[in-house]
Amino acid sequence: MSRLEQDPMRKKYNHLDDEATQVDDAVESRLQAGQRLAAPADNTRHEEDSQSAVDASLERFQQVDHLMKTAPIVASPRGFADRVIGLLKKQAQIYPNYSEGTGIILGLAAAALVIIPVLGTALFLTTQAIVNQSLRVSLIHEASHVIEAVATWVQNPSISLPIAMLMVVAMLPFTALSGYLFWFFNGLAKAGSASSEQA
Amino acid sequence: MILPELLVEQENALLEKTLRGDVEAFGELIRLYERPIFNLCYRMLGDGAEAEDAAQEAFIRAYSNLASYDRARSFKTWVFSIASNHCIDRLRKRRLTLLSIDEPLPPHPALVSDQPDPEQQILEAERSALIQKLLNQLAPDYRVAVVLRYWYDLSYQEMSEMLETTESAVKSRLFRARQALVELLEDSEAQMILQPLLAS
Repeated sequence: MSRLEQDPMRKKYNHLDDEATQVDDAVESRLQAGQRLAAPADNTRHEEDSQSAVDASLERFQQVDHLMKTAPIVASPRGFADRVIGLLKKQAQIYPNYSEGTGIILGLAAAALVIIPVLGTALFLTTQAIVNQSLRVSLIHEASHVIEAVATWVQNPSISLPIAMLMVVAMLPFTALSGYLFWFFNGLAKAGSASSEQA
Repeated sequence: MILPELLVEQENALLEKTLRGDVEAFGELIRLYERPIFNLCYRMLGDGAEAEDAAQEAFIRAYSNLASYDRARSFKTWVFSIASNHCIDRLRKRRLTLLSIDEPLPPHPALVSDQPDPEQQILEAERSALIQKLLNQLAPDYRVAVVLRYWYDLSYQEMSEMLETTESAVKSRLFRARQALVELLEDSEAQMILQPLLAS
């Protein structure tokens, strides 16, 4: 038994071998047509030449079929699968299982949720303060009150628990956003360095 | 290309695990198909190191795009499609190299037979070199048609799906490829190598 016949891949598709060895439909019909045309007039030299040309052509096609059909299947190098798995694991560490497109959309949405109201309010107040002097004064006054309240809380935190809770609640989205942005850009930086290493 | 039911079930289970993030499960799929994929790349590119690189890239691309894999299609056909298209791209990018019949390609190390008969080994190596030499002279589109047809017995329909073309285009490419191979075999030196091989 040849090495080719022993190959499991070839064994699996043995039932298709006959089909694979057949001359292509187009070639076969062409060659057969040539044979049929040449057959009735064997006695003229020209037709004998045609017949032998067709035979030679058919033989060449059969040689090609035989050569290709019996060509060995090359084995993959030792440890090939392990190397690919190693690369995939390394890649999985670089890209920590997140979809880049989804990450970008979620990140931008989270950033917009926090930033747009803050910037919008700031813009509104700034515009109002520019055109309205009394509002400007009252804003500065209010700001001073806030600073004073914070200073009081820092001096004696136990009596201002609601303010502390408010600050914690306000900190949560900022912390989440900062964490997300750090994770996302860290992943991008690693991916960038990995691709430059590969290059 | 009909896979036994058991293999299909095994393949589906491995795909499910892979999609849940189990890289080892994909490793099993690689082990199932590494040989045919590597052989395809080797026959397409004619170089062991480049074939390994291309096969590796094909599996990595398959893993990365697994979420978009249509489960109605055969996994093997899908991976073959990735590998063959990748090899065609590589061939198109590669600079054209002219090969002389006096300098046949050395056989791939994996082709060195474990059969004890040294004469058989030499014949095997010569045949492999001749086949590779012939393949290397075909255009990438023709080469892939020959490899898929002769080594993997793929149907015209499967080949057309893989190569994203029509069945008649596949038939035409295969016919022209075989015509080209016949012409290449007309070469007297090729015949000198071929005759003892055919006789054996």
